[in-house]
This record gives sequence, structure tokens and C-alpha cells, in this order.
Amino acid sequence: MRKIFGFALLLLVFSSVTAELWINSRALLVRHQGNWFFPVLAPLYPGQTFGEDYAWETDYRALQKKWRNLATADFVVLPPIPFGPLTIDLTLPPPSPPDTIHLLGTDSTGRDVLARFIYGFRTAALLGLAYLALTWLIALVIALVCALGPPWLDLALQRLIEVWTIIPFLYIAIAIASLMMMQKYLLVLVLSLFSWPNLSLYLRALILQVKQLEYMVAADLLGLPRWRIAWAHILPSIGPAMLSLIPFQLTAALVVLTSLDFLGFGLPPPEASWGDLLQQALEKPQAWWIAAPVLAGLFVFLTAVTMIGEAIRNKQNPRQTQNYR
Amino acid sequence: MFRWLFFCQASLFALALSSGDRSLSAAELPSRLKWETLDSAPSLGSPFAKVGGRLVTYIESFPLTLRQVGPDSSSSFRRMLDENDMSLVSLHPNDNVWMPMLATHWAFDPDGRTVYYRLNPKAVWSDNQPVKASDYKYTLEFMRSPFIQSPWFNEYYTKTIESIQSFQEKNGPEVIAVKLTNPTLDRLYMTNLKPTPRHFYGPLDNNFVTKFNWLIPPNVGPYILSKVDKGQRLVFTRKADWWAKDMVYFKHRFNVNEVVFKVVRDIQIAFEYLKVGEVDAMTIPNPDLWKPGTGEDAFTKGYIHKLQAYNEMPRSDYALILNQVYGPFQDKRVREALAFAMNVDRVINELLRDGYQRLQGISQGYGPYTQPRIKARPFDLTKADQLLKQAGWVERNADGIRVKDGQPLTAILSYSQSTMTPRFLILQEDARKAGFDIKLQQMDSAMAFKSYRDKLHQIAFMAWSVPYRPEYRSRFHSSHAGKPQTSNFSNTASPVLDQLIEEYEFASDDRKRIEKAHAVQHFVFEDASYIPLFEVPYYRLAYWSWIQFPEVSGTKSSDGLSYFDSAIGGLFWIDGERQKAILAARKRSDRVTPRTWVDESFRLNKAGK
Repeated sequence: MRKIFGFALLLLVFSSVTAELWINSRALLVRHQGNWFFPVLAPLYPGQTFGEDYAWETDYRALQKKWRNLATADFVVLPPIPFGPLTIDLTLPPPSPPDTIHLLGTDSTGRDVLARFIYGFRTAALLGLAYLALTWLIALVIALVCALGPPWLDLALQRLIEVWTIIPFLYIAIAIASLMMMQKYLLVLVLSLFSWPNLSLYLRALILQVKQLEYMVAADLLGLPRWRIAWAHILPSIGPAMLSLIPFQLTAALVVLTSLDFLGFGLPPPEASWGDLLQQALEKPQAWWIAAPVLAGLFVFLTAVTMIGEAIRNKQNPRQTQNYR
Repeated sequence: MFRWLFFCQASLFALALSSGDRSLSAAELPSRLKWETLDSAPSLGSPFAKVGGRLVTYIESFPLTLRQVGPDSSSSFRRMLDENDMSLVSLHPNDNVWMPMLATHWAFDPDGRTVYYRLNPKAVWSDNQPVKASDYKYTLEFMRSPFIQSPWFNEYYTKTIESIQSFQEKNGPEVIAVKLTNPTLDRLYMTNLKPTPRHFYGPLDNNFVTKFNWLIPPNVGPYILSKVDKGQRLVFTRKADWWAKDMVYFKHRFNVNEVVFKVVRDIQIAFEYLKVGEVDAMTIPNPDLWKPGTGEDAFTKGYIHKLQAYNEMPRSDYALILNQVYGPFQDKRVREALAFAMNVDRVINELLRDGYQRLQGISQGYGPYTQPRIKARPFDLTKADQLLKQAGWVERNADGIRVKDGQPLTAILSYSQSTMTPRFLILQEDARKAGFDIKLQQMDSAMAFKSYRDKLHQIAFMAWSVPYRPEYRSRFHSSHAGKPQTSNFSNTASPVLDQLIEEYEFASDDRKRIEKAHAVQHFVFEDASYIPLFEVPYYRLAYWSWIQFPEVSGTKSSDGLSYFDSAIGGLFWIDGERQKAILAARKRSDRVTPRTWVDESFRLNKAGK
């Protein structure tokens, strides 16, 4: 079972990392009047580049069709699925069910659901990683200051953290989204600013525990500077415990990002995201193909990452036996 | 919507009293009044209508109060209470002429701001008290009272109406004279008040808001709210001996004995309730619900019928509003170019595919007040390109967006309705071709409105409410530009336009006023700050097929199933025998003839589509 989920997760990660090569509206390769172009690697080629009469981005599907009919030496190589996450295709009334052109159908604006699913996952995963990094950084610094700093600072910071945790995250996110355009970095920042307290409390406890050990007392007596103790002695000893937390936090991040998008306060349209797909599915419950991939994706991702997390935890603490099988 | 607003406003007018005037006997009615009335308005009802039965429909949330004024009173349910009030006169929905209601006759004073109404002596409240002239005077007292906690009503009734006087005609009915603060051409509309039951409310005090939260006030309309199951349902019962039931205009109308409003919090769920027969009728604003389902259901079996009825009434100015203060939009050519870059027809034809129409300009559907020659700018990238080049936006950056002095041509479109997202995404995609980078920002509705009023937006999306006559001052007058907390969202400021608006407001006759309205519309078109989007020229109903309609299902001003409105409501009836037959057929799972009918009686440009 673990292998299946692990494989599915790998597939998801691999396919989203390589998305541009197989699901994209830009051509992989264009030959025009003896010149070679790689639109997938370039920012944008206007239609004029290929002898069209418009200054906006080339419609490679139309170009391919046109050149095929002209039987010229010029040609276009499109990715296997020639639709990007933002490509609007209204040939059929949206949302249209899965067919041979759109394998998972289209959403309520006529965009390919598969493309939005894959690109949405990539965005969420990247944001999730950035969020993890930032949250950990804040939490760790505060925890170290609390545990190793003077007692009065610890006391003050603890009270501040208590106050901070009372502020409801969702309302703040909604307010910010209403006041300004939600950008990716802003989303990560807001999420992190509201997630570090619990983590830092946990880390502080870990550090305090380690601090009591004899070699720590010895290091202190030797007169090592605080930062050196933190870097060389504390971090390595709490490392495994930290590592086992990461997968669970990653899943939590994905769920929070998806929820925010679902509520309409995440990334602004037209950004592809799972939450946006779920939101559309709620408004059009008859279009099952919009929700299905996201639900399946969430299931696979959450299960696989949880399994990885458990594996790490078990390695570190063999007595722990509560596992998903 | 129009009808509802109309009633809101009418109800505003309706509750007024000049507290200073106590000299009832001393006042003399001017002798040379020319009384007018209309006794030829035929009923819109059907002679085949049958009385009786019960209709269940739904509301999305239970009202927070039964008061029609004060805190929490502006729920959608209030419309039902407002419709069950009546006013002095009413505008005929199809012929646009005034009809007598609580007044039998009316007469105009030469001063241009006073209207006399001869009251109908038969009119009674639902608690059998007669409707008296003092009830109209009380309206003014009530609406101006600080105790009702409605600053808007307070201000409106203070600013618009100067006084109400009452007279007793010799051996005749009571007469009231409603005097406005300013002369207007729409005197009848502006003075068309509703009475307020003085005997019920009595002297107002600090406890008003709490005391009357859940008390049902007496009314004069055809139904009375008879049962309130908190959080669950509200039931209106037909008054069997309604005082106005013999009036010609009300013949064959208000037929159903009971109208039940059940609380169903979501339209999707309400639709499921409809299919199983827990709800008898509902409007279907959502194209997805209108499209036939995939399997066998109550629609295909013919139990539930569908009606699409066209109407002909003022349309909301459903538009994108460009803030002229925002950098690129200071140049009119850029605004025009953006209008040319909006592929609204693609949204209509390829996304909505549902009989939506392009809104051509502001003030549509106002009959002679609408300037018919104004047409919205079509999608035309060549023109957009020319205009932008003239304005200096020549270069494009690596993303295909135009740049000038290093600044990209970008603007944020703020809106609050998630249903608009797919439409705006298509506009966004096509605007990119012209080199515009339109960013979409969906906001919470209160936040969006506040940011528009504070002029923090770059492009605002707004569906304006629909007044009785086109209203321009608050939206286009320079005195409202550049200031926070005003409705001039485009920040339009032009002495020429100011002049036109003033001439429009103080026109001495209708012809001049129409001329000025056209001029304002023309100016707004030329100014290119409004990009009109869509209009829906119809409403749609789904109903269990024992509900029957007259041959012409509604009126020009109908926008859904109206139950109680004295001008347009209660045209339908319930066919009890058919009800039994349908229910029996459902039990046996038999089919009856399905029906989706289109009532084009009030369709404009039938051939145009």
C-alpha cells in the first residue's frame, strides 16, 4: 500500500515539475523560415514573429493547423496536451465533460481541468515549501531565544505568543485579501506569521529538555558562547524530532492554501489552484469532473505524505506503533 | 428589483405627517382643483382563475425582524411585507399611467409641488380600523422619528416632503395634500405615500426597535402575515373580505389562499426541494439549473413546468467603471481603447449562451428617456491599437503588455460576485491581446463597496440599483468627484456635464427633461468611463404545473413570481383538480406533457436577436 501511494506521489511531483513539456499552450518547437524557436523556454513570441498579423502571443494551435494546410516546410511541435492552465477553450459550452481533447473536461471558464490540476499542485507545493521554510525559521529563532535567553524575556515572549495565537487567522487573511491583491509572497508571509507560535512552543519545550542533559551543562561550564551551543549541540539533538514534523506541516499547508482559494481569498484569478477547482465544483455540482481530480489528488497527497512522516517518526522512535497500513 | 425599489421609495413617501398642523377644520380645500382618476384599467388577471390552494416557495434566510424600518430591516423578505402595504396610487405596469389605489382621485396644485389625494373611504386596515387621513400624517411623523433608527428614512422624509395637510370634503371623503420641498415633474411619484397605522404604533419612544421586532403590523394589502415559525417558515393568508377585492383592477387576482415562505439556505438545495415537491415554485436565475438535467426527473415527466418571460423595464447599469484619477485612465483614449478591448460578445455568445444581451449604455429601458442611438463600443482590437498608440502606449514588454516610460499598462478590476469570475477571465484574456494587463481582485461585497466609495479602485464592477427615473447627480456631478464616501466612482468632473445634470433635474417639462437625459447619456458615452456589460431581458420560473398563469404570464415590470404587489402581483392561481391529477400521476410515475414556454409578450427587438 505504501509503495502505491509513494509511487502516486512521485508521479504527481514528477509530472508537475515537467508540466511545461507535456501540458502547455506554448509550442515545444517551431521551425519558421529556416529558424528554430523554442517557445516553451522563451517568455513570449508575438504572432508577428511567425508571419501572423497580430502583436499578442502566438496561438500555436491555430498556427499548426494553418501550416499543415499550407503544406510548407514550417512546422510546430505542440506538447501532447496543448492547453495551459490559463488557456480558455470555449468550443464546447463550459464546463464540458471529459473527452479526447480535454481528458478531464473543462472548468466553468473553459480551461482544461487537468492542466489546472497539475499546475495548481505545483504552485501549492512550492508555496507549501516556502511556507515551511519561513515558519520554521521564525519558530526556531523565537524558541531558541525563549529557551536560552534570560528568563524575563522568555516570560514576556510566552505571553506575547499567547496573545498572538488568539487572533483568528482566517479573518486576517480575508481582510488582507480585500485590502490588497493577494500575492504569492504575501500569502506565504501571512500563513507563516500565524503558524509559527505553536511550532515554537513545541520547539522551546524540546530545547528546554535537551538543555538539562549533562553534556549541555558541560558545554555551558566550558564557557562556550550561546550561539555555538545552539548550533553545535542543540540543533543536532532536536533535528530528528523536527524532521518528523515536517511532512505533517506540509499537508496542513496544502489544506490551508486550498481552503483559502476555495473561499476566494487565496491567490487571485486566473491563478490555477486546487481550491479554485473545488470552489467551481461547489457552484456547479453537476460537473463532477472538476472536483474529482482534486479530491483524488488531496487523498493521495495527504496519505502519502502522512505515511512518509510516520516512517520518519518510527525510525526515530521504534516504540511508536500507531500507523496507517 | 425595480418594483421593489419603487415600493421602498413609495413606502418612504408613505409615512409622513406634519406635526405642526393640527388645524383640521380650519383648512379650506382650494376650490378649483381638477380631480383626476383612471377607471378604465382592466384587470391583468384571467377569468379562468380559481380561488384557493396553497403555494410554497422559499427564502434564503429568515428575517432578523418583522419591522420594515430600523436596524436589520433591509432583508429580502421585507419586500413581501412592503408589497402587502398599498400606497395612494400605483403606476400601471404596462401602460405607464397612474391608477387609484388608496386614493380615488388626485389633483395638482399650480405651485408645482403639492398633490391632493381624495382618500378611498372603504379602505380599512387588517384589524378593521378605517384608514384615515391621520394615518398619512403619521407616516411623516414616524419616518422622521429618531426612534426608528433609520437615518436614511429620517433624512429622506425631511428633505423631500415639506408637509401633509388633511381636509374634510363636505359630505364627502377625507382629502390630504402632500407638499414637497421642491417642485418636480414627478409629483405623483414623489408624493405617493403609504399610510402608517397610528393606532398600532402610537407615540414612539426608545423601545420602538425592540418592541416591534416581532409584532405583525396591520396592513391594507391583499394578504396578511398570519404565521411566523421562527427560523422555519412564514405564512401569508389571503384576506377573504379584503376591502379592495371588488376593484376592477384586482379582479381575478390574489387567488391563492396561502403563500408559504420556507427557509432554504441555498438555491441548489431549494432546487432539489422543488424537484421533490417540497417547494412549489421558484425563480431560476442560474443558467445551470435551467438547462435540462441528464436523467429522468420531475421536469421530463412533465410535473414541473418552466417559464421564460421577457420583461421591459429599466435595466441596472451593469458596468465596469474606470476611475479617471488612476494613471493610465486619465487619458480618455486609454479608456476608450479598453472599451474596445472588452470582448463582451464572446462572453455572451460562448460562455453564457443564454439570451443575455449586450447592455448598450447607461439608463437602458427607460422608454423615451433612453437615448436609442447610443451603442456600446464593440470588441475591436484595431481601434484599441490605434488609440493606444496615439496615447503613447506603443511598446510591449516580454509578456506582451504595453509599456510607456517603463510603466506597464495594468489595472485592477475589483468585484465581489464569484459568479462574475469566468466572465471577467474571458475579458481579461482578450484584453491581453490589446496589451492590457487586467488583474482580477475578488473582494468581500461590503469591502468592495467601501473601496469604491473611497475611490480606491482602478476598475469597479457595479450593478446599480434602478431608480424610477434616471439619476445622474450622485454618479456624475463634479461635486461628488475626488471625495471619499460618494458614488461618483468614475471621478467624472466636467462643468459641461454638471450643467446638463442641473438642466435635467430642473427641466420645466418632460420634453426638455428627456432631451437633457439623452445629452447626459451621450456625454457619458463619449467620456468612456463606463463600459456597459450585460442585461438579462427576462426572468425564469420553474413551478409545479398546477400553478396556472393568464395568457400573458406577467407584466412589463415583472421580474419574477410576484405574490402581493398591487400593481403586478397575484396573477397566478392553483388548479386544484390538476394538482390531484399530477400528484396521482407522480404516485404511479406516469408522464404528463412537459412544458417549457417562452412568453414574448414584452420582448423588445424580437427580430433583433
